[in-house]
Amino acid sequence: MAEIKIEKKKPVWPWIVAALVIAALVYFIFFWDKNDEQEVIQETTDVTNTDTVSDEAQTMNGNGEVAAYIAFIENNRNNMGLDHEFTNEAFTKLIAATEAKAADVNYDITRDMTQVKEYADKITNDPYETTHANSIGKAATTLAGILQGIQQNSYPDLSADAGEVMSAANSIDPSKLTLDQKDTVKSFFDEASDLLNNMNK
Amino acid sequence: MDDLRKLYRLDELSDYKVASHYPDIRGWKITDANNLVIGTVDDLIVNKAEERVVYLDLEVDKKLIDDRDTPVIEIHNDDENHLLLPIGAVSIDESNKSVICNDVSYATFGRAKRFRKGENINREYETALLRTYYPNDDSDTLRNKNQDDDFYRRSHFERRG
Repeated sequence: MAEIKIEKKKPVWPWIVAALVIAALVYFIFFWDKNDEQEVIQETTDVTNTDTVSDEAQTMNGNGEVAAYIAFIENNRNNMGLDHEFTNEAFTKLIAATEAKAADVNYDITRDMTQVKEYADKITNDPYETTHANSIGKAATTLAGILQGIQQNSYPDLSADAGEVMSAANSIDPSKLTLDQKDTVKSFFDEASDLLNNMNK
Repeated sequence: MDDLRKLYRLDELSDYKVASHYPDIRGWKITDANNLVIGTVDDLIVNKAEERVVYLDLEVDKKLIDDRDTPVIEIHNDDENHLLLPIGAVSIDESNKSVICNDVSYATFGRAKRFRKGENINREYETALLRTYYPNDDSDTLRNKNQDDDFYRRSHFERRG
């Protein structure tokens, strides 16, 4: 004959607590590290916030990319360091500014710019390579040539400025480490900024 | 259910459930030994202190209620369609999800006094019902209706064999 027993139900809350603990562990293991990496990269970069645009840049009659590059150089003018992040961002913004200026004056720079971007990719992907300065020098020289082409096409009065950009680019020695010629590299970026600034006036 | 007698409907005990490895037969059909349908198990009446089922609360099949071949002993209202059945009077067929009552016949169920769903059950009703099911049982615990401790320790409420 039949027998049926009953028992007290087990409480659910311990399982809920266990599930929350596991979810928290998964989050910290798989997602927390990535957040830390991003924060560390930002902390070690001495590059000033590029969203800050100086009054001079804001009064210019120019497109956003040119203004952003000029502001970036100006905000880091007193930064005596030359780390990898600064170089990367400076080239990225200079490329964007040069493309924007070329588009403004309908000057085709496609072929040369493709070459510049290849050099810039090398700089980005091989930050510790001893040929770093070589890639920087080649990118700078090619960009200087593009800017000179734009100047000759649309800004004949700025030939001296364009010449200074080219001179600064040619001064980068591919046989020396980048950190040993940081003033020379920064000088190139400064001269490019001055030229673009004058083009926008 | 009367708390003094420690009986509860399992549906009322939110912190209790049928124990693991035992079937929850609520909703299962119940038949007599001749496979005639008596009704459906509506709830389980439990002795909370001993943590076991003592009665099945059946919803009696309408065909049985309306069967004119069964002699009418009690007069019932239309909503009085529940009966208690001691757990020891049935066997459980888990494979077919059915319950078989071997001790009480279809006709006896027809004569038993029914109650309304959810109505409180007192010892007087239990005793009268057991006398209906087991007319030859003349044990002390049925005659001495107030012997609470021994009432459910009878073969009708326990597994035999």
